[in-house]
Amino acid sequence: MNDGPLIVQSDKTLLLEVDHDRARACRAAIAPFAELERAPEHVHTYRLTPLGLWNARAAGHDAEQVVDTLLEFSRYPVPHALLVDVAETMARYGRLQLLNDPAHGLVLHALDTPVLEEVLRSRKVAPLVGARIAPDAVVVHPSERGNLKQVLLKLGWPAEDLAGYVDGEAHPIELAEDGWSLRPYQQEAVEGFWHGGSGVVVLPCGAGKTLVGAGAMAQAKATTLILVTNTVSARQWRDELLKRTSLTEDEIGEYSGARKEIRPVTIATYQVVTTKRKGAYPHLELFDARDWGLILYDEVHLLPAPIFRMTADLQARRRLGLTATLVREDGREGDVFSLIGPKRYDAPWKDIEAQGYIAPADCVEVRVTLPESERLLYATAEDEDRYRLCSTSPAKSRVVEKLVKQHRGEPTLVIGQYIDQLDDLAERLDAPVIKGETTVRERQRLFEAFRTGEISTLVVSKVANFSIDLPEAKVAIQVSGSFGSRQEEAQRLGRVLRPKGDGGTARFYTVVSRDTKDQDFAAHRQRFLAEQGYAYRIVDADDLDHGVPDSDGVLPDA
Amino acid sequence: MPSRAGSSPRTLAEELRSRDDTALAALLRARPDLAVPLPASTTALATRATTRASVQRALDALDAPALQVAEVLAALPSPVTAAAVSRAWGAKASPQLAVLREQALLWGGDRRLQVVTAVRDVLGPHPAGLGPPLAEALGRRSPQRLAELLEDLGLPGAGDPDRALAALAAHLGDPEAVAALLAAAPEGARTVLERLTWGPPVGAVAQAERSVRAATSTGPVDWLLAHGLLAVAGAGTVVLPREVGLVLRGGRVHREPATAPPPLPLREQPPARVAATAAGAAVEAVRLVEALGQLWSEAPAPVLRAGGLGVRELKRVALALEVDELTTALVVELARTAGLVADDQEVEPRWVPTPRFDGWVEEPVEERWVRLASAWLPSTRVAALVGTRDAKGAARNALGPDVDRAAAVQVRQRVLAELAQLPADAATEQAVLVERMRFAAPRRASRLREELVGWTLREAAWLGVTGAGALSPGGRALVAGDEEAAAAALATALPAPVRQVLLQADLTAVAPGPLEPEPARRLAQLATVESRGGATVYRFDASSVRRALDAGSTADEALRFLAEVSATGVPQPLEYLVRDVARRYGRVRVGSAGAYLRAEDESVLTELLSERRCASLGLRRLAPTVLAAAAEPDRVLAVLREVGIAPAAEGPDGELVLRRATAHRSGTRQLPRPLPSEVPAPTAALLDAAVRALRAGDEDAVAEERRRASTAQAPPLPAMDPAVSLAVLRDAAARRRAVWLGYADATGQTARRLVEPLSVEGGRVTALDRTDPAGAQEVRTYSVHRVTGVAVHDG
Repeated sequence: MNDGPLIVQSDKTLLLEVDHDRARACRAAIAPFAELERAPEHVHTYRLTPLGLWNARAAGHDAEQVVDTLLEFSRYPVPHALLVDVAETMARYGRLQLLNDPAHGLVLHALDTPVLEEVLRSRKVAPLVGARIAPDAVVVHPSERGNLKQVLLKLGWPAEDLAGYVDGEAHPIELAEDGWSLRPYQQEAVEGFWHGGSGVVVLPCGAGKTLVGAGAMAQAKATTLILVTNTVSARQWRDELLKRTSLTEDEIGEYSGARKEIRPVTIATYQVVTTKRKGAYPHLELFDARDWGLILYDEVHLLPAPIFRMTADLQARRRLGLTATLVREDGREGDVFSLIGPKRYDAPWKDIEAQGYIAPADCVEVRVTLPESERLLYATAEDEDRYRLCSTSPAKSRVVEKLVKQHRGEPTLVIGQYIDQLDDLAERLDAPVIKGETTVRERQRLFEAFRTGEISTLVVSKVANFSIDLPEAKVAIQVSGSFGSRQEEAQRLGRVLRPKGDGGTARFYTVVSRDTKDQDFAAHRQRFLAEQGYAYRIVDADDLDHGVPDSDGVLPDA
Repeated sequence: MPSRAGSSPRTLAEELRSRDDTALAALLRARPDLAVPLPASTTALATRATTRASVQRALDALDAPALQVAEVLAALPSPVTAAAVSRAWGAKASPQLAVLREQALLWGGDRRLQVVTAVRDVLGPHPAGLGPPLAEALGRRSPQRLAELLEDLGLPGAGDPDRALAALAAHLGDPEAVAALLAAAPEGARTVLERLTWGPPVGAVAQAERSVRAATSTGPVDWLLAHGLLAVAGAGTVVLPREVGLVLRGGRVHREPATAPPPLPLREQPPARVAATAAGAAVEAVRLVEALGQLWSEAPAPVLRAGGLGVRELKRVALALEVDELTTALVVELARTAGLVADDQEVEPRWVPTPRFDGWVEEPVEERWVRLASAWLPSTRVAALVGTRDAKGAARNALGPDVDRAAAVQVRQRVLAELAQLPADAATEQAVLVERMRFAAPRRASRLREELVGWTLREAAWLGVTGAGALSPGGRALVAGDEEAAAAALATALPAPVRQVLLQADLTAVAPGPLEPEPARRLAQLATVESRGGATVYRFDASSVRRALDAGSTADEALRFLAEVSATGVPQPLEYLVRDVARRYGRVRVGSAGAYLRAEDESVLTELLSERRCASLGLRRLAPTVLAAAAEPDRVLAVLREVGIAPAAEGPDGELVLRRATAHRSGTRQLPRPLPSEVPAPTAALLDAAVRALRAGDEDAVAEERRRASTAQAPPLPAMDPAVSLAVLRDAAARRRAVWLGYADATGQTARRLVEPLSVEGGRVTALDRTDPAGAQEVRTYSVHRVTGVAVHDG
């Protein structure tokens, strides 16, 4: 019997034994078509999904390669039905193509006429297409290019978009590689994207996604619209672009609640673009304001629904999505695939950590036993209040105090969901707090102070969840979160994963109330951590008097 | 059986009597229905062998070449020579003639071959698509029109109709004459004939019976009718007479003699893959059957009033086994066929595991597989029919009475035999298997049988009898009847069992191969299986750990077991989880005295009181640490678990009650018998006995005939061809004459009745029975096929 590192399960999961000699080769071979689902310490789980297989097809892999890979690395015989299914699924991609016909413009062309017959019969496709110009081709109105792709994906016949792109208005952009250069994986990501035309690059938090964006812009050398999650993030993109490219301040515009500048490179927030007034989106003009050559989507997994709709109309422009995870809590991965594009680059979190580009992290869950009085309060509370009650227990604040004391002098972030709790913590810790009402100017001042070491502890609300860049945060303490969001967990973990000057290990604490909903939600988030390969430990708050030992069990110096 | 020249027998019975013992045994082997019950004599044997039902059975079992030769014989007038048969078939027919003769469908010397009348009956009026002979086809015409026909064909007039018909048949059966006629035919005549040549030989025309003459004919059909190339078959139909048809077919009855089946294409598989894939499937099949038994052990499924398992129950099983309904149907059918589950035959019957199941579970995997696979081989159950609708539109139920198909066994045996004759590790194509099956028994071909080929292949693959389309080593041994070798073959192909699992911090455990039974059982208690296949992935959570505690395990025991079974130590979060659940376990205790809840912890009870999901339990506080519930304890427990509390049930003496489901069992049950399809092939001993009985019977019959002959009243009754008996009976009925009737009853005993036939219709004779010497008379009905002979009563 073959002694391969891979076990193919009948439910289409692939188990990869990481300690196996051939694990590395196997990982490289299966990564193009299988989605990494969990990466705990011994056995990583990948899953074969139609989207994953179509991503592979889009990247030029065929079913035969996939089947051969499975057979080559599999330890046990691969169920025949699964191989057949893989081949059939992959054969569905690209049987329909979107092409630019010299005479008719955009057409949907079928390599297999019955497939075209089948999809044309769908009531959802009919309004999106025009005249049948040949048995195997039908005219598509350019404005329906995105909608059609979405519908075809839902029908299980994803179209290959070969209709090409408009170049857009040219604008010179160069990377200013003075004393630094793109890391190899960033370079690969840019190339992967550029060859594919449009698509998504998946990199962990802290791995330098902004630079991949800058690289793509330097490649496109055209006017660029950058969509980001919030204003702080917009400023950071701007700063980074000024530092890393030939772009000057005059060339970069900010389109936000405060300012509405449209320049060759314009950075807009999701919020302003999706603002609705009298049932209409007043800022849609932005998309038509210039002949954009490239559109960048930061944090694609958070892309709000209206932006999907707007993106459907922008299919002739190159689109680059950046994200740490393709998992969307709303399950709209298919829309990302059809509207932004297939996955063009993906690097496992742990691999990049191993290369030293992101810091290793030590995750600790601290369980707090609520005092009798609080438990009674929790028990009698209404359902909707319970989560807040257990999340904001004063008992937690005492634990946070102890933890901050243990890490005195190290840059520490205390992250929470509830403002009252944060204010209380700020007071106890004598640390500044950043929340929704904090002005952008004040935020930037505090971040700067934190960066220089002037202040070592910062209390932040969820406004800081996204895209803040705190190079030296070494300790993060999570006191409350938005239920069990795995995405949020990824973001928060990302806060401490930026490489540390001393190469040391970051510490990520989660403070949880025992026997409450808090604990259930924490379990959900931790599962995500463990699946990303971060071993985590659980300690009792009562055992904190001598400090939390490190992952080798060594206590901090008293 | 070559016949001796010069001693051509006069009847089939006579020929049978002259056969040697081996030949008689061969006949009984080929047509087992003739031996049950044992015929009293060769005369009785001949009678039975020529009945329509038995002949039909024999013809159904013939392969394509033998059937074609039978059709040739039916198409040609008897007697016929072997050479003429070969000529009309287009290939050397002697092997097929020998087969037909052995099976008593044909008798007489090679120069005077007689086909049994019933063969013509069964093959119908149009054997191989040929019309009726001219004599019959033109027999409807009036003598005047026959004379006109002779005139139009330029033949001399004949005196009476019989001679006219003979002359016409001779003329139109001559290829040259037909060719000459066609040369002069008007346009379109040839097209009409071409359409009828290869059958069906009947065509519809308006007013076929009108009188037409060559001189006045207008269209091609008229012309053909006027020249006898077509005959009138009815008011609106014409038919191509057989002689003309044969000439048009170039003297052949069939386009092509089917002499050899299409060869099976080979698809070679890599050597290890077949055995390994089959082994994987075999293990999975065994697991599913075991899972079904466990499921019904805890929660038996009700038996429908009409028998079988309801659609919703099937869905429930499918859900529990995590397979589709088709596979589920296969699992439940197989489990019952192997005698592992049965109807408990209680007042409200339920499907439960049998005692046999307990033994089966303990056996090693390969033995368990052999038990399943060897139960499958002769089973007539067709799981693929489950869920399909019958003629009345009702869905067929699994385990129900409506999914037995006799053909399933025949098809399965044939398909497996075909696969077994391929080289090792070679698969083939389903379409060719279907074609070959049609070749092997064309008259049996049906949609069901063709579908059964596909179903058989699917079931064989699912069961691991085949792997990657080729017969697995185990399957091959099984088909050859060697169960021991089958088990051994599977055992070598099974992946080596593992003893250790990988525990991970995300609270999963992975067994990277088939886990040994004992650790597997314990692990399945502590964790929930998340994914199956070559490996098994388990997930630990609070409820799974609680389940283990429910089953009586303690936290320390559980952790000790995990440490022992883990190749990589117990991750801290997992240890924490187990201890945490154990800490909370049993914190709430529920009693049965009207149901009470008590807890050391007041706040827990307060929480329960205000919990909306507990509202239906009717909780109220009795004391700071005791609640009373209106609902039954079971419901209370369920709701509390739903709420996320780990309650423990409390017995009357205040002790914890371990709640484990009782295992239900049926009484000892007989294995279900497959549907009797074909009469089972007789054993050598039986054949021997049968032949001896026949001989003895013949001697008795001779003695009896002699004795009878001496009495004036009862004349000897020689065995007669049913056609002859029928003629005598019809004649007697018409003339109201009494006859002696030799009659075989249902047990094969022959008796003589003195009867006065009243009518002969539809294979039945209604007659006044005057046998009773006392003079009592009664009207009775006799089946013609049971009549062994008839003699006119002289009295």
